[in-house]
Amino acid sequence: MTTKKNKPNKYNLVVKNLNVNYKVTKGTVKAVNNVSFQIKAGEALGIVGESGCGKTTIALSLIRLLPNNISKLNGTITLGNKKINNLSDDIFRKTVKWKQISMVFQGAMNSLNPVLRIGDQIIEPLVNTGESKSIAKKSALELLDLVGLSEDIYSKYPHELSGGMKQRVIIAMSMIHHPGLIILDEPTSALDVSVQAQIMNLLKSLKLQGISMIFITHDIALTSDLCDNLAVMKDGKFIEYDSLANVLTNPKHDFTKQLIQSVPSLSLSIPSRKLPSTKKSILDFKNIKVDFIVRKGLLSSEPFTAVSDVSLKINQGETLALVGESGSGKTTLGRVALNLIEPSNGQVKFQGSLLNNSDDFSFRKNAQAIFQDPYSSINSFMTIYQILEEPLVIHNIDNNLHSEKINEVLKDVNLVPTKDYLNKYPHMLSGGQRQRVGIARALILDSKFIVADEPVSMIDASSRLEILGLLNNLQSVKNLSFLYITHDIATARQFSDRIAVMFFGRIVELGKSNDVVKNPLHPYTRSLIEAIPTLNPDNLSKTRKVISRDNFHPSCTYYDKKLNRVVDYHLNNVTHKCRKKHPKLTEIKKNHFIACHL
Amino acid sequence: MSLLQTLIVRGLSLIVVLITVLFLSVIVLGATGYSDRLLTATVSEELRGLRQSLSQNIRDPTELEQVIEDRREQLIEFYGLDRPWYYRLPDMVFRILTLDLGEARTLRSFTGSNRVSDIVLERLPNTVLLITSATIITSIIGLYVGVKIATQVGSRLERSVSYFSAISYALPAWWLGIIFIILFAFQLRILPSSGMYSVPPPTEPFALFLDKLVHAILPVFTLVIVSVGSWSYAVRTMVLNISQEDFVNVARAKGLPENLVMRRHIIRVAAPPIVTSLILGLTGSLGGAILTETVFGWPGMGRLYYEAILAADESVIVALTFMFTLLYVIARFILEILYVVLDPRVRYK
Repeated sequence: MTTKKNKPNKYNLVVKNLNVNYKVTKGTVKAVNNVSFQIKAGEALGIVGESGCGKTTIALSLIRLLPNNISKLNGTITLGNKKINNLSDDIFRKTVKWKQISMVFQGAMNSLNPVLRIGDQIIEPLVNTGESKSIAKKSALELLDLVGLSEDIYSKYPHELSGGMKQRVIIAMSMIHHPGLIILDEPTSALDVSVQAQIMNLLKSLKLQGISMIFITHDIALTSDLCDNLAVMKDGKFIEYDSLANVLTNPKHDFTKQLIQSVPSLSLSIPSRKLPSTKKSILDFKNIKVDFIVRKGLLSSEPFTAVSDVSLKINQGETLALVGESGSGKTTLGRVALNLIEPSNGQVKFQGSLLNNSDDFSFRKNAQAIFQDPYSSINSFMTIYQILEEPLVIHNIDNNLHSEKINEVLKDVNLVPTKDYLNKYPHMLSGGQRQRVGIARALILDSKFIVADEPVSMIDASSRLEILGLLNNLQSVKNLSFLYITHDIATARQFSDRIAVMFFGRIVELGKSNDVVKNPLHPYTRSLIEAIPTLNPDNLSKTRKVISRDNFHPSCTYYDKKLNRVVDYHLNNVTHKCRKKHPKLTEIKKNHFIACHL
Repeated sequence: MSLLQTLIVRGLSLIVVLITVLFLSVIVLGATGYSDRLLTATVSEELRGLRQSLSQNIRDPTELEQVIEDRREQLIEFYGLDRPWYYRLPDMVFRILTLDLGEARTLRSFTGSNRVSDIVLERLPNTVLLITSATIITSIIGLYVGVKIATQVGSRLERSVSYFSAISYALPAWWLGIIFIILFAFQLRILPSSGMYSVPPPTEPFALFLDKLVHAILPVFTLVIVSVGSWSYAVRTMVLNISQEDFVNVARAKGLPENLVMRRHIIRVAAPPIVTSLILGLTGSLGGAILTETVFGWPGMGRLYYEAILAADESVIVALTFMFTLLYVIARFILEILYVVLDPRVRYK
C-alpha cells in the first residue's frame, strides 16, 4: 500500500484490438471482435448491448475471469504505463486483481458468500495481502459509511440484508484496495427502480472521487447518469463509440437509434387513449384480501397479507396497468384475477358472474395469461404446433379446425410464414419470438381477458416496443381486455388506458394513464416516476432526486386542498387518524382516485 | 425464536420419532401375529423339554398330560398369551423407554448373562468401532477425491471415478465381503477370515488390540469400498454446485489464491449438505452392518440382530430396534447442532 491511503490510484486504461473467441460444439464464437477503447482517470465508459453481445466478456477478460473454453485471446491491455495482458496469472492475481481493477457483478443477490459475515468478506482481500485485521476493519467501516450503510452491518450475514443493501456492500467491498478502475456489470438490473436510482447516485458520488468506471448495461437510459463516453456493442463489435453527448444527440448506427427510441420518455406527450365507450366491466374485484400462511416454528404460523382491501374494475376493451415494486402484491392480484389463488376475503366477478372454482373450465377459456419468462413458460419438449394445439384439445375444439386456428393465430402475432415455425422447438427461437408464441397461446381460444405479467421485462430492449405494439394492435382488433402487470410505470403509460399503483398490497392511486404520470398525486407514485432513468446528457452533472421510502407511511397520506396534491407530512404527527386506519380510495379529480385522508 | 428454543424443539421432535418407531415396531410384531407365534413356539419348546424330563418320573400318561397341561396354562399366563397382543406389548414399550430392556429368552451374553442390556451393551462398542472407522476413512477419502475431481470435470480421473462410484454403489456388501474373504483369507492367507480375535486370543493387552485391528481390516475395507464411490460423487456434485455460484467468481476476482477460494468460499459453503449426507450415511450404514457383521462373524449389534431373528427372541429384537433408533436420533441431533453452527441462515428464524 502506498502512502496516499483512502485515495484511489489514478491511471488510464487503454485496450487495443481485444479479441476473444469461445470454443463451442459447433466451431467458435467471436465473442469480442477487435475492440479498442480507453478510459482516462476519473472517467466512466458505458458499454450498452443486448444479451450475448459480448459486453460481459470484455469485463471478464480485463479481470482475467474468462471461462475455460477460450480458443483465442489477444490484444493489449495497458493500465497506467504498464502492459498487464502478458503478466503471469500469479503476478496478475497479486498485483492487479481487486488492487487496481475490481468488479461489481450482476447478481447482487448471489454475490456474497451466505455463510460468512459481511465484514469478513469486505476485508478479506486486504487481510489476504497481509494487512492486520483491526486496520482492515477500520477502513471497511469507513467504506460502509461511504456507501451509506450503518456500522452494525459489519457483523451481519448476507441473508439479513435487502437487495439494495447487498449491492452497497458489494460496492464497498470493491473499493477496499482503493482501485483505480471498477467494472460494473449490470449493477442495478436486479433492483427495484427506486433502489436503482439510489445506487446510481452512489456510483456518481464515487466517480467524483476520481475512480474510473466501466459501466455495462442493457439499459441505455442509465448510462446518461454516469458515463462520459458510450460504446454500443453488437455481435462482439463496438458499432458506435463516442462521447455520451455525441452518441445520444447524433447516433450514427440504426441499432443505436433503435435503442434510444426504445427508452420510454415521460416528457413526450402521448395522445390520451380513448377509453372504451362501454362501461360494462369484464372483471370486478371487490374488497379482495389475500393472506399467505408463513410457517414459523414447528406448529405455529402467521399470516402474511399480500393484498388487502382492493376493489377494482377492469372495463371491457380496456387495458389496466397494475404498477408496483417487488413485494407490492401485484402478481398475487393477477393470480386472483385468473382464479389461481382464492382470496381470503372479498369476491371477484367475471363478466358479471361470481368466480368460483366449480365453473373453472369455462372461465379458463375466457381468461388467459402471458407470463414474464418466455424461457420457462413454454414447454421446451413440445413443438410450436403442439404448444398451440394443447389448449384446443383441452377445450374440445373440433379437430378439423386446429390447423387453421393455429395458422391464424401465428399470423396474428407476426410469426410468418407460419409453416417455418410450426415444427420448431422453443430453443430454436429468440426470446422475442418465444414471447410471441406465449401470446399466441393466450389468444388461440379467443379469450377476451388476458393477464399479462411483466410480458416484456425479460426481453431485449430492441424487441420490447415491438411486443407492446403487437399487444396494442391485437387489443383494438380483437377488443381484448388486459390486466397489464409491470414495475415500469413508463411503459405502463404507453400501453394502458388506466394505471393502478400498488404499494404494500393496496392500491394507492388510480387514474387515466396520462393523468397519473403527468400529474401524480400520491407521494409514492411521484417517487416511482422520479426514479425512472431518463436519457439526457445533462444528467451527468446532477444527482437524481430520490424520495426515500422511509419518509412515508403506506397509510399516512393526506390531501391538501391548497396545494392541490397529496402530502405526506404526518410522519411526526403520530396521533393523526391515518395511524389508526388505512385511507379509502377517493375521487379527487374526475376519474382520478387516490388513497388519502381528506 | 432463540437458538436454544430451536434446538429444544428439534430435540423434542426427535424424541417423538423415537417413541413412534418403538410403538410401530411393537405394532408390527403384534398385529402380524408374529409375536403370538413366537410365544406359542417358545411355550411348546419349553413343554417339550418338560415332557422329556417328567416322563422319567411320572409313568401314568394321563397324569403326565395333566401336569403338562397345567404347566402350559401357567406359561400362557406368564407370557400373557391369554390376552391379545395390544395388552401385552405396550407394557414393553414403557419398560424399554425407562431403559429396562428386559431379559432375553434364549440369547446369552459372552459372560452368560441373560439380561438384554448386558447382551446389547457388550456388542455396542464392536459395532461402533466398525462403523465409525469405516465412516471416517470413507469421508476422508471421499472429501479428498470429490473435491479433486470437482476441479477437473471431464478429465480421465473424473470419468473413472464416476464409473467406479456407480459400480461401488451397486455392489452388495455381503457379496463383496465373501469375495474378500476368498481372496485375502483363503488365497493370499494374509488376513483372518472372521471373528474379532484369533483363537486363542493373545494375552498381552497391546497384542490383543493389534489382533482386533487385524480382524477389523476386512469388514472395514468392505464397508469403505461399498460407500466411498457414491460419497465421492456426492461431494463432487455439491462442490460443483457451489462453485458455479456468483460469489465464487467474486472471490476469484478479489485476487484470493485458489486454495483459499476452494476452502472458504466453496467447501465452507458446501459444508452443511456434506455433513448432512455424511451423518445420514453413517446412520444408514447401521443397516449395512447387519450383513457385513454376519458375513465376517463380527460380534456386533448387526450380527446380534441376525441371531435374535433366527432365535426368535422378541425382546432382543425390540431392544435392538430401539437401540438403532436411539443411535439414529442421537446422530440427527448432533446434525441439527452442526447445522446451526455451520449455516447462519438456520440460526435466526
